[in-house]
Amino acid sequence: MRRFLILFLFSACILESPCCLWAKDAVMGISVDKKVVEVGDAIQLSLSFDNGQKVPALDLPAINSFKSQYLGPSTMMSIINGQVSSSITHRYLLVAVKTGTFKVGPLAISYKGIDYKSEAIEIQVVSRGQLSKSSPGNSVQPQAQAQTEEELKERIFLAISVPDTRVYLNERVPVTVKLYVNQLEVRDIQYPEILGTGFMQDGFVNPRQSRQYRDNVSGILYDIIEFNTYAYFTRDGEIALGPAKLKCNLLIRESQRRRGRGIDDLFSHDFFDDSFFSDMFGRSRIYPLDLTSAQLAINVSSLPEDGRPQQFSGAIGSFKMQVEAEPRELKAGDPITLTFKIAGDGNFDSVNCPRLDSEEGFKAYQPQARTEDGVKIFEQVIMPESEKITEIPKIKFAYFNPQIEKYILIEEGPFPIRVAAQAEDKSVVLDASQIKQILPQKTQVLGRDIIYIKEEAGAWQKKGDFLHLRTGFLIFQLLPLSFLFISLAVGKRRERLSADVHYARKLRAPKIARAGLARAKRYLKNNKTKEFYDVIFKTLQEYLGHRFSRASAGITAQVVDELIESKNLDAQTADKLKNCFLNCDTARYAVSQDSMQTMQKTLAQLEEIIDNLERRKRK
Amino acid sequence: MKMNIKLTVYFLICSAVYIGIGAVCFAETQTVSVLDDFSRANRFYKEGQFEKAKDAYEAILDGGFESGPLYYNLANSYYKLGGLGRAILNYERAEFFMPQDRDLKFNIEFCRSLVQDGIVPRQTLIANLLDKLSSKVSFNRITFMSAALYCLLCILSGVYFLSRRRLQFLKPAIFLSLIFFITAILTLSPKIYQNHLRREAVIIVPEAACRFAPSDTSTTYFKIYEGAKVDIVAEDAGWARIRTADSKIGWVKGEVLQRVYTAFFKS
Repeated sequence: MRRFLILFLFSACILESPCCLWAKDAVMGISVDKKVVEVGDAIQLSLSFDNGQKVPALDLPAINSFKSQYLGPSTMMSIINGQVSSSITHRYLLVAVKTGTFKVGPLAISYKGIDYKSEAIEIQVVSRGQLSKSSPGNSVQPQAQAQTEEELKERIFLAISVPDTRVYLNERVPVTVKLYVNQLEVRDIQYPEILGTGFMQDGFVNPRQSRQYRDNVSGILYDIIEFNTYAYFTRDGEIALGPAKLKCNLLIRESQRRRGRGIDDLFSHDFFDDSFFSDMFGRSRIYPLDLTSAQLAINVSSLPEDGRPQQFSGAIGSFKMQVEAEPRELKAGDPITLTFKIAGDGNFDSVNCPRLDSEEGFKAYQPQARTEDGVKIFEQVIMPESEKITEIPKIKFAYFNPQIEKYILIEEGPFPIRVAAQAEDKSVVLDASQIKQILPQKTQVLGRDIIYIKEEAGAWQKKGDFLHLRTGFLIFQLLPLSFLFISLAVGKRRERLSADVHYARKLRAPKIARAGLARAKRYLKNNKTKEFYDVIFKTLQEYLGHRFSRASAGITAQVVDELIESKNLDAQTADKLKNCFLNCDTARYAVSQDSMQTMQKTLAQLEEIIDNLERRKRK
Repeated sequence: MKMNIKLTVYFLICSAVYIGIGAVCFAETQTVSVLDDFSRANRFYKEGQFEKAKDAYEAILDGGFESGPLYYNLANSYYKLGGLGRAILNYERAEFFMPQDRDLKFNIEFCRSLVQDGIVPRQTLIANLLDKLSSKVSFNRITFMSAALYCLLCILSGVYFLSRRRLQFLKPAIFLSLIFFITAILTLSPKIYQNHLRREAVIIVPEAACRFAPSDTSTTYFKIYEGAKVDIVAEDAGWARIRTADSKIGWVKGEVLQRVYTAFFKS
């Protein structure tokens, strides 16, 4: 017992000791942000230590043609599936001082008995201006575009990968499309599209839910976005998967200033050079990119014939089966619902309903299937035909596991059941809802197509001959409107005539005058002096009465003076008016036979008076 | 009483004259030869000769005649020939003549479901209501109804003003005709907006690049697919500035789209 305790404590000390870490990865990661640099520009060198959060910064040995400066550490801790891991990254600034191709590393450090070693990394230093000519940081010139895109390929590219290029027909193959970005601002990343025939694919998982991380590829640190999907190969032989294509936009600064990371740039950093201000003041532009990955040659094999169980119906993957049978106590002819739950990892489209080892003594209906969260569930109704049935036979499900390249047969059951005899004279009455539950629903797949052509031509019309565009129609619309306005005007006039007596009399005055003058002319023609002057007098009375809204009978030669004064009549008209009245009085009350000429003169005077007064009214 | 009879006679004469002139001016033309051509095109379609059927329907259109069933059958022919864009275009035109046809509604919905972009345009409640109202009757019918109601309103109002004692029984009739007239105008206005101002078009090529500027070298903003319905915002030297159902705006070449209501515009 004592010996066991000592052994336990010793083991515990060993496990607690940091020395146990050497059992893990003791590699020092080395990466730079770019591998080609101009003289005077700076690159950032990162040395990362997994599981070694306390590893101190390494004093860089003198590197030929670079001046180095330690920038500081950055630590990272992550918890994945409850497992805690930590890392530290020490960052250095290397400023290139002469052209050529140089190696940095291999570097080594020993900390608490662990030796960390890195690989060597190669950096190319070119003369000034050589890179900036085709840098994407400058405005893109058409002639330099090809060169820019070529260079961009190293800083942003797409890769497609599968875990294994040897797969089986209908196997669910995880496909990963990775977008690698190095020190570039990328926007509007669209889902990738995988080209090729001979396979089907699921939709991509939302990249926000998938992995986004940084990784060191050939010594360069890339930001990586992973797009994950599954492919199912539908024919055997060698099938080309891909290329994958992805569209995105690259944000390019419009500024003509060099964007290198030389010492000068670092210290003369303009506050307004910040991307926020650049965006705000519109100094950046969008450069659309179509990225294409390489193709993958996938070798698709048919499933092996050897060892294929009789129950195999095409399922590929790794599955588990769970079977439930309810109820277990029933009468002959009553339904039992079998529920098969197939869970696991694989192509669920290829999973068919497991079958009873023997259906003898049972009436079995077509199963119904549904898939829920990685589980395919089949429900099948079976009916024991007699009370002699004591168990539901074994249920077998076979699938092909591509990992171990073998067929697997899973069995469940048998399930004991107790079946009572059905009473002969009793008939079971089921309502419609029960029948619906018991009997499987036949889902009919409806065809889709357009509805047939029309036999009747309908109402023809001249092309473009629309009612509202016809001039006749538009002019025709003026008729009702004109009618409305005329009616309105007539109605208003009528209203005024009935309401305003003075206005009505004034309007009637010329008519009365015209009628009187006509009669006077007739009497003049027949040389009837008395009647002539009577008519002239009456016409004058009535005209003036209506014209000036006075009682016609009250207008005599004496009243005329007052009228002339109140209405401001001109002297000539006033004289004529007085003269006319005087002539009438003389002719009517003194017995005289005026000559035809005098009568004509009086008539002319009357016409002139009426004419003058009407003209005055119009004015 | 005597006055009422006089007014009624007057009103009847006015209406008869109006309807008579209208009937003479706007009678629809039926042409026997067009009917023969239509039947021949239908025969081609039934025999599965969709190319010939399409040509025959197009020939009728070139001859200057059109009808709802003609556009519908032409759209069917295009669909059978794989031209989804032109099929949707002609269904849209057919909808103008027979907006309530169920077969047409089914086909147009079916074809729209095949369009790749799958953008569902958002509409306000009022716009939706007006759209529903206007989809009940054809354009010419609602135009004629509006004109007739307008005429009735004018005549009734005219008679009311003419009558010496302002016939009170005309007031409800005037009010009702005014309500109907406003409804007809509300029904007509979305159609006029849709056809005259909105300038709808359909993409007729499988895929078209929508660019930031009317130039082949300009950056592609997005892609638009056959059958997508767009609004033409402006036109410039063989390019059209379009607005998609999800309000994206860009330039496409003029030949990739075709206007729905070409008869209204001098393009």
